[in-house]
Amino acid sequence: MSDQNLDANMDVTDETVIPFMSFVSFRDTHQELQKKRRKETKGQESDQFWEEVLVFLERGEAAGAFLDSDEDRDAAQSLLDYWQNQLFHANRDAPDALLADFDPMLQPEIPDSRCPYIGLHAFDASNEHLFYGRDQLINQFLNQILVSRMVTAVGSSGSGKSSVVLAGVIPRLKNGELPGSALWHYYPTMVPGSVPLTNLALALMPEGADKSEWINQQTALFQENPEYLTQLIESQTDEPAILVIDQFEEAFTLCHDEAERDAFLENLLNLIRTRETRHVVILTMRVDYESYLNKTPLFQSLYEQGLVRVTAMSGAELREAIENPADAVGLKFEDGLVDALIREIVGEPAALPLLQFTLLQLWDDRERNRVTWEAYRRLGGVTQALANTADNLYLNLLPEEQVTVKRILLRLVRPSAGLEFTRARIPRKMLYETGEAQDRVDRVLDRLIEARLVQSTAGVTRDDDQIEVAHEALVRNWPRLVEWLEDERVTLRHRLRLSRLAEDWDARDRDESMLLRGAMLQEAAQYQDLSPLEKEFMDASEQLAHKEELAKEAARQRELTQARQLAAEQQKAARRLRWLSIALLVIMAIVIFSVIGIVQQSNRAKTASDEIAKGLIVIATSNAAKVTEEALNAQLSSEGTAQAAESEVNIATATAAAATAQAIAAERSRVNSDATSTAVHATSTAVQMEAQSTATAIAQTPAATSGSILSAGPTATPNPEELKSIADINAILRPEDNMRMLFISGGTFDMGSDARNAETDERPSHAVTVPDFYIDQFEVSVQQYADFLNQLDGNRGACDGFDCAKSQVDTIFSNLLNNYGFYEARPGAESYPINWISWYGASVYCQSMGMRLPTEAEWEYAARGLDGRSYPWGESKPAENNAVFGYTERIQWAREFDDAFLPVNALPDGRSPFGVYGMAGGVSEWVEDWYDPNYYKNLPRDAAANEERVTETRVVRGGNWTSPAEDLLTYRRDSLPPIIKNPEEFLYIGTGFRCADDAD
Amino acid sequence: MNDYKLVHDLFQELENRYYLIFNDQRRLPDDELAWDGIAINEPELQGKISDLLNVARNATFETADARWTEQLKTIGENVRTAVEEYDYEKLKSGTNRLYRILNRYPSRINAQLVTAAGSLRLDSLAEAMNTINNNLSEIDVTLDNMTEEIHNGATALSSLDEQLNALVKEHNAWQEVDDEIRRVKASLNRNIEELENSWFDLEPMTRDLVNGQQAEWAVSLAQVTDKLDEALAEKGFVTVRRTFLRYQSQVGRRFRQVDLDLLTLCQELQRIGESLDLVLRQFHK
Repeated sequence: MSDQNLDANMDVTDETVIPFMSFVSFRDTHQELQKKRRKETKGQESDQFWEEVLVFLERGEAAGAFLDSDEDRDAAQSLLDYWQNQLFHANRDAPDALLADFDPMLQPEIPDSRCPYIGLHAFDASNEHLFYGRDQLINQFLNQILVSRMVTAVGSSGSGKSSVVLAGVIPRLKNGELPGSALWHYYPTMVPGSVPLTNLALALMPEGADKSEWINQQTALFQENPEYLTQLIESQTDEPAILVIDQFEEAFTLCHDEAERDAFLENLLNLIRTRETRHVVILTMRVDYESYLNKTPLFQSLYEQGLVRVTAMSGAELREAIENPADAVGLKFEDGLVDALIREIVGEPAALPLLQFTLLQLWDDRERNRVTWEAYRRLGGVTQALANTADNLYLNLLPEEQVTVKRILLRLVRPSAGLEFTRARIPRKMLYETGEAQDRVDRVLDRLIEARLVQSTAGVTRDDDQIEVAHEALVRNWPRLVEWLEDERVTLRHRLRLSRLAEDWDARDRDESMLLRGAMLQEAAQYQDLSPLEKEFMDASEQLAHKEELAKEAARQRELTQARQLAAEQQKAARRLRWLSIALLVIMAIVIFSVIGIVQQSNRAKTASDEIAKGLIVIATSNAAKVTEEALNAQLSSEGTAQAAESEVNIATATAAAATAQAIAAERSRVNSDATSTAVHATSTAVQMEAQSTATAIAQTPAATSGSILSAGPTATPNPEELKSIADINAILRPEDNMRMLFISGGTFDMGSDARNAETDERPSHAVTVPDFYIDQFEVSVQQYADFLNQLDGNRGACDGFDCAKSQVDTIFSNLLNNYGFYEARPGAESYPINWISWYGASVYCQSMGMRLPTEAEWEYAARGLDGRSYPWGESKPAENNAVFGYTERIQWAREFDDAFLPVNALPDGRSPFGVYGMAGGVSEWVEDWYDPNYYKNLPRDAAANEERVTETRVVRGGNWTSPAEDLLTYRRDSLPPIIKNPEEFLYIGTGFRCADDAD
Repeated sequence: MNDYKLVHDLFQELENRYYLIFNDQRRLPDDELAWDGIAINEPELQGKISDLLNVARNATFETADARWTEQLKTIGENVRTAVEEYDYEKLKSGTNRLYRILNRYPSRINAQLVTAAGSLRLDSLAEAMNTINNNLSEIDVTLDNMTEEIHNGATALSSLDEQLNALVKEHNAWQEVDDEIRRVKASLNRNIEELENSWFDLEPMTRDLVNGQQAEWAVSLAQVTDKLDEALAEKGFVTVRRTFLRYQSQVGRRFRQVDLDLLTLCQELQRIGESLDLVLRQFHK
């Protein structure tokens, strides 16, 4: 019985006072009294009227027990005061009507079935009557539909974009809010998932169709014919069709089949472009996946035209969202509680799920028809409600069930961009694969579902039920889960890295150089839930690893064979040398004895002189033989080289020549015969020449394929392909950071330049001999450096007392993120070369790997090879296909920083003769040396680093992305202070590095 | 009359003090600094309460409804305790009850004032003076100036009587408007429904009071009444509320002025009446 009916039937003499049950009825009765008074003559109102006023006052007083808000009570009391005054002015008794105290026990109960809140679920058509607070946005959306055939609701996770469309826009369209929209054809909402064409087909499936047959047919037709979607829809309806695609980003993030995705997008595009009927596609998409649309320019253009951003709700909108559903069921909030809820979340775009969750919990904890402050405080407010509820559930589980909860939840999330995690949707049966008892998994899952933390969507069978966390808000706002995810982050990160590497490999025509090797391959082999692309990637990696192993073995065999051949040839050469030496000795003996004979013939009387000459000849002969023997031994020893042998033979030859000359001189003192002298001299010269040619022949014996110094002379220059091959075959993988290191065969090259464009500090060109060494094939990447800093557990002062690097905390021109001490690559920048590195940051990194920085000579040799080229790739000028350079204007940096970098393994056209990437442009590279502008003037011949601190700077090589083309020359030198003091100077905007190591 | 005037003025001042405290109270409990402002104004409030209670002890109010004095005393004590203990709930309760007092009793005091004004019986005085004049003629006392003066006095008294009646009528009309406004204002924080409903009465009441008036207050009040009418038609909550507060302020100013004029007139007339009454008694003797 309503209050109005009560008034009509009221007996004023009845002792039972029936109070007004709400302020609304209170006020309505007051207004009725006013109307009645207007009909009476003012100042002469009837007794009956004033009796009704007295009844009103009585009922009003009693109504106080039902009025809990201050506003209602103030308004109600003012009505009582007013009518008391009117009684007074009419000279009638005016009782002092004071509102009764509020009595919570008198409030009506509201049944659970009338719950006005939905928790973490998104709104849809089934609960649109509870959806408030978005009128302005919905109007904006509807206006956009009038002008765009594709309209996208974009917002962050938790902003309510799906709800706006499903519970706001669609119902209003169906209600005819736009001209003719009540008659449009509305398809069920679809979510792309990993198989968008399948899900599209399901959305369009007519009743009664055989599901699997329909799906097979339609997906094939979608693939074959990009117009098929339009044709299908137009065969089903004559009206404009509305197709809603929720979570549109899944077409890019979950669907790995490019052909399927392309077919999906093309069919949508053609539907949107149809001229005959104005079909409309409505999308919802997370804002952090907008960049995916860059891959489809046509889609991007449509997207921008029909974009509706779903932003945070204002305070007034939040109040509507909270109070209007409550009013509809008679639920009240204690004074100030709605304001407190609003204050907690206003301006937070992603807090709506938390608000709904909190409201639902408050509803569960209500006292009759009221939500109390006590309940709110117990819950911990909006920001803590979810965490507290989840914690309460977790702590009330048995220990083994707690383990199960953890395992289940970790299967239900996956890492995405940056530090984010997003939810994954998996069938129930996959949760049984953890190895735990199925009944325990089910039991725990049911508890999670009951607590509304996890939701289950029915599948064909129970095992096929799709399980997911109710909302990503749980992933971000439950500290316990966040902590579990942090602990698992490395594993999950590597797992994600595998996905990305597979995608990159696929995108780059499955380039072999991008396959996994070594420790990374071993780790990845442990993952079980691989996507088809990841499986192919792993298979190809394993095949390549096997192939490389076989190739290494073959190379080893070849080396062994070559070594044996070399040994055989050397032995032959040694034998030849020995015979030549013997021949030489014989010839020398013949000459000497001839001379002696001549002398004896000419002057047999000079016995003393003969004796002296004989003695000198014997000495010379034995010296020559001894030296020759030593030379042979040196050639056959493990440390011997052809050059050493040559020099030794030279010495032997010279000694023999000297001995001969001495003998001749001695004899000439006795025999003054020019002809004899000439003949002897000519003979000894011939002997010298013969010895020399023998030495040269030995020197020309081919070197072994490992451990041989190459000469830059015209007689010993391997071609770049050979150098590359040698470097590649002997490459190793550094397990600490999975860096590939190429083997650089030692050699002698011309360092510096005398060319016209050479700077003063690059002159003169001088020969430098570099022993074998290893060098990183790629520059150290952002992700590798981030991992290093995380292991180092710091950055500030962590590299020998100096800062290692600068991150985005210090400068926007860094790809390194610092999230409260955890270092991470900017999403998408993981494989870019690291920049803003101090020399100490580079040096300590290499040392931590058991390596070092390359010396300047090693660096230039690795960049230049043996043919003295100007750029690592040759003589052609730097261009887009071989180097990143030329962003010389600062105004470009801000605009183009994000695009200026490329992965470390990009630009194969820019490789050096040894196959090293990125030695020109990109980032400049620290080397070990202190910079000395006059260093080359000393003509240093070896590859050791300059340890002399002539300046306060260290050398950097290679130029960087901000350099002009001429700074990319292989011999171009530059230097910087080793410590980054002031990021605003931008000096280190392009400093990076790679590591090196001795060959042994 | 003096007592009525004094009580009237004191209630006005008490209401001013109430609003000063109420404005700070609204910032509680979030803004603890609001207690500083309240602590400054509370002694003034207590002073006005004390003054009111003192006047209420006078004989004038003996037979009147004196419940408000007990209530006011209790409220004063509660507000003092609330401020000393920084008790927000107690303060809120005290000011709410004080607001009820201010809503109710000034109106009743004014009604009593009007009744007292009516009891001056100026018309009777005028008639009495005419009687005196006639009597003087009969006893053939040649008091030329005196009779003329008495006649003029009687005429003036009649005119004053009309003036008083007009003021009393205007005062009552303003009292009605003030009663409506107080009731509406309490509901205005929720919505404008009560105002919309009351405007049906308030608007014609206000128009009646300003129509034909050229004074600045009338012109200004007419304008704000027009604006409030427009705002109510557009139903913009913020605009309606702001315009209503301006309307209320102007009505309040005019009401207080009429109140003051009536009090002043009544005081003077009371003195005249008392003197004349004395003379008449002499004549009757």
